Amino acid sequence: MNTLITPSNTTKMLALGVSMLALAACATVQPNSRIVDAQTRLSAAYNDKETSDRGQGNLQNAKVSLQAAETQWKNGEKEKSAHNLMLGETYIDIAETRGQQAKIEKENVQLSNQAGMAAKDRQLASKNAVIAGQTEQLADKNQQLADAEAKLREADMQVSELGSTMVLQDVAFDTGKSQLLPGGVNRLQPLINYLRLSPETKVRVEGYTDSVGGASYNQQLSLDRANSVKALLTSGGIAAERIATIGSGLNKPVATNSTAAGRQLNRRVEVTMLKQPG
Amino acid sequence: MSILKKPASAGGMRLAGIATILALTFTAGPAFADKSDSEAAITRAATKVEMVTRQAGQAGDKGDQSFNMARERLEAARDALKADKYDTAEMLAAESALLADLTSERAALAALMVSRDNLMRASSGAAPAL
Repeated sequence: MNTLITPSNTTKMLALGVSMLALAACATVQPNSRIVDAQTRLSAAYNDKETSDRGQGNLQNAKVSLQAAETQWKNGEKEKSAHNLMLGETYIDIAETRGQQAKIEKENVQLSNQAGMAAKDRQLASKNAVIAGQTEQLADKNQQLADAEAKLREADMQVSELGSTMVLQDVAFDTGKSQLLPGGVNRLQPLINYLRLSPETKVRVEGYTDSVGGASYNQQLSLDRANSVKALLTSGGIAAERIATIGSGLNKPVATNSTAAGRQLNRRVEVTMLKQPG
Repeated sequence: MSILKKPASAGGMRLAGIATILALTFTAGPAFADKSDSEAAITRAATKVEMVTRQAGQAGDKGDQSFNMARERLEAARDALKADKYDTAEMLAAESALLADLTSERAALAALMVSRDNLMRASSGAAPAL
């Protein structure tokens, strides 16, 4: 009998009893479906690269919490099990959220690059539109210039080494006056149109008279007439610095002053479009 | 002595086994929280809830309920503390703090999604949302 109640035997019997009770408890407690679901989610989270990388610590915490929840469930500690289950699920939520963050961060990097490229494309398209507009304007301008040149050719220009010269004679001025007459204005209009379209072209306006009257009087008259022409050109939008005026008076006659016809030819203003260097 | 030694050795093994079971059972928190433990846990949770309050608007816009759950659990923890249920108070406070963490992460996610939407508009040439 003594051998039956030794401390060693008592311990063995107790341990056996506890084990049997534990086994019986395990056999009767049904698994908690929420814990099973959470463990399934945990496995899926571990298999997702971004979630696994970014939420590694949270997944580890979830694993420990769910193991505790399972054990507590089996032991009938429902409140603690529910607490640990809730913690485990929330840890998984956090890990998944971090995984989603990582995915969107990657997308944002790609989108940022695309947005930069799109912005460059838009800038390029804008520049191309400007260039196209400028090209169109240039073509229009060239056409207008060609038209103006054609009109000028109709204006009976004389070509010399200096350039093309338009000669305004008596019809442009009253005798002894420097005010331009409508006929002179009309003749100058094609020149004004051309000079507006050809801003590099400079002009020399030179006045001449016949030999009637004194040299000083004729000198001043010729200069005044040249200045009248300059005033008309500037009122038409041509910059004054593009226009040089000279009064040559009775010098440089183109015909004899001894006949009326010759004097008529000598009373004139010559407007010369100077050849551009180069 | 030899007879006494054996039970002592077996007792040591039993103690180790019990310690393992206890460790497994109470992994996520001490079994017997006292008042100061509960109060400290509630303070931690309250601080986190306060911190995410500023972010909650953005998270709320995305239909996130974790912020409200965190606040509810914090209140429940305070009620449990008043009722001297220290274990319950500590558990609820721990849940509240973790839910506040989740709110914070979801708010960060929401901000990233707003950035993504704006970038998508920018990359397609549309004006960004304000």
